[in-house]
Amino acid sequence: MHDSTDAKSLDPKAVMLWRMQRLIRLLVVTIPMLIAVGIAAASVVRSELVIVLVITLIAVNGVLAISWPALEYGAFRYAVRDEDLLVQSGVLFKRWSSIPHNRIQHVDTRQGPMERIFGLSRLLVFTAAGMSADGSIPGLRTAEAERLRDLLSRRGGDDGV
Amino acid sequence: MVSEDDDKPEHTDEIAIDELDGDDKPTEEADRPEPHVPDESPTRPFQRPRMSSPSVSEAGIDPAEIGPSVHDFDSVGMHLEAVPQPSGNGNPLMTDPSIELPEPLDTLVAGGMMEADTLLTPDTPWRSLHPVSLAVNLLPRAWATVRNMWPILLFIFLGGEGFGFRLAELMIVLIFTLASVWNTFIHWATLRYRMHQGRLEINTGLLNKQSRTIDPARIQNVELVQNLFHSWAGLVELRIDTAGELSTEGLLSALSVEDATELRDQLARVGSLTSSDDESEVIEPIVSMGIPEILAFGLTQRTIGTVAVIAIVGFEFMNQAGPEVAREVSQNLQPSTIIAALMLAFVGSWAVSALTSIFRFYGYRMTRLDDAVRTTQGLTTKRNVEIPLSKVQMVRTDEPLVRRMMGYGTVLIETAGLGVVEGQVRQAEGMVPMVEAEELSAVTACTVPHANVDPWTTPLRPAHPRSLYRAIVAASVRACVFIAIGFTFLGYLKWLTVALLPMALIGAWLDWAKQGWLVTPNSIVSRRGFFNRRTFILSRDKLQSVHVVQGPFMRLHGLSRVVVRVAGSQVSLPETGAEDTAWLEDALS
Repeated sequence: MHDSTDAKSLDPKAVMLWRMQRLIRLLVVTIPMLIAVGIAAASVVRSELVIVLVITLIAVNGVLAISWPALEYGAFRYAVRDEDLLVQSGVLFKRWSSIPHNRIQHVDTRQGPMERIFGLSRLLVFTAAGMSADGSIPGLRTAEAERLRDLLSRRGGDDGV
Repeated sequence: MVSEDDDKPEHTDEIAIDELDGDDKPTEEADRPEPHVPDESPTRPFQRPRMSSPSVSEAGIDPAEIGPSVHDFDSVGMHLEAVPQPSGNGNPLMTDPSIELPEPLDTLVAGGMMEADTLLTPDTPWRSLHPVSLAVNLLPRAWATVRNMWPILLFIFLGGEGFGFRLAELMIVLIFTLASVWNTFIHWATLRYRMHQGRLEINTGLLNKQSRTIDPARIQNVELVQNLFHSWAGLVELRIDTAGELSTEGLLSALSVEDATELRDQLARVGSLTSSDDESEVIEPIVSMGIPEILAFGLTQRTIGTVAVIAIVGFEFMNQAGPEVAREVSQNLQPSTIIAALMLAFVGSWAVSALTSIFRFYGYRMTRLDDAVRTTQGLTTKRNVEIPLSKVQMVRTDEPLVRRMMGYGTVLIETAGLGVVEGQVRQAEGMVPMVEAEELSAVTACTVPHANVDPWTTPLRPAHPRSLYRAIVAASVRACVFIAIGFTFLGYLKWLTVALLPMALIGAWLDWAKQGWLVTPNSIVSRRGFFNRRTFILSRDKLQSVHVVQGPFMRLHGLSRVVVRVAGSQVSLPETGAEDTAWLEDALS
């Protein structure tokens, strides 16, 4: 896992975006779920224990939601090289991907409502290898995402299928 | 939305043929009975699977707006106009032999229309399936549907408390069977195909009409299937796979043998297949299998699943016979009886497995054509698969322990086409069931000629020594979980489960010791497993993308895993250390 010299980072706003996304998920999904499980468990185990456990879990989740995106941002690098697109990501589970330009079948940019507020987009790169995207770059400035999409989708060549 | 102009350079392959004959478009346009187009286009739900040229469907809405890109509109026009008007428009159910081509056209086509001819003719007549094929297909298809629902049927006949309950299940079976009969009928009644301007066009559907255009150069493999009924009637089913969806993209069931051969030859002239004229170039059959080898293959297939099914069915029978009988039987049950029953189950499932492989692989023969491999196999249902070598994505050899000890291995050829055969996804398009160990390298070499590597004589690079630690830890954890389960649920037998631990450790070591990888200028080889040794060989010019993954524990040991993806599948290499990974990253990207 080496750094490429010309590797770029994402837009710094991505950290804020991811924090917001994680906090929303925490509020809407995780906390209600933990409380529901806690209520169910309270009938079996002592309720003080359950309360402490639920509060700890929520706190840990909250801390992760704030801190993790910064780590993710720090771990993410991408580079468009002569022959391929390099994407490197992951904090605990690291992943390094190289997608040759001539194997790219199509490139998508996607933008959800939260991403629109921050003016960011996601870039998805598809090859013939599978149903899902082979490479994805989240948290790009929309203009940069569109530039990359046009740049990557213009290169042709033998697709090896 | 990408504009139309942006879109074009990407699809040069797709429209190349259309552009070739762009010259004669104006005359065609004059000839065509224009009024049909506006009449029909609104009634036609455009479910065109040709995703690659969105401009076509746009063109269908208003032909007048298109102007310069006539060729796109034109291909739509052809579809619309060429649907046989009397039947295709109003009621396709009224199809009868009158749709059959008039004699002169038929002879024209049968007389061997060359590639150039199909490129230049303004309109090629549509052809339908063989009239008899409906009768021939109905029984086998209905049977296949019923057979696929055997768990339900078993339940109906063995279990089932009340009569109403059984009736409901029978209804389900009946509905599915009827649906399959209906589909067979629709396929037969509405399917029209033709080879037009270098493309294969297939129209089907009654309510949801579908017109499909297949570029012969994109065909991954062609399969000719002839079951017993087909061969009695002199028919053959043609299955054409491209790299698109999960089903066979072009299914023509069924054509007369002559029509099928002719269509295949027409496809061969434009695409990457080999026509029957070139059969003389057949190099000696690479592999052929005798009955003993087929039997050996059947016997070395995994049989534990079948044994489980037989055991469950036997148990169910005992319960049906009556609770007293079951109790009596279980009281008189000696360990020797249990072992005998298990042996019987194994022998039975082996017999079934051997029998099915005889049916599947009887007369197996694989031949190498100029730039394709062709396999022929089957006792009652004959299959003839042709795979162009340029489309082979990966070759995998499976050498399960028993088969390996007998001196054999299995070769599987994978292309980007995924087929669904009799309800199950078939990933390997070509399979060579039994290859003698010393011939494995020759067979793989001829299926991936570009790879130019022989993993049976070339020493492979081993997996990193530290990955053994990881394997051992993982195996111990897994064994401990099983031991814990054993201790909670089993009686005095629980001490037996402790034996799992040393077994798991030995297994982990053997598995690690047999791993290997190799990257040459042309190929990538990865080998895994001791009990079921698998070797993946792929040609580097098929590589779609390269990934390196590293989990937290792998990082602890400085290991990482390289995963290479080709169209249709992916292969992971054994775990490698930092230097090897860095080297692989450089070499593969």
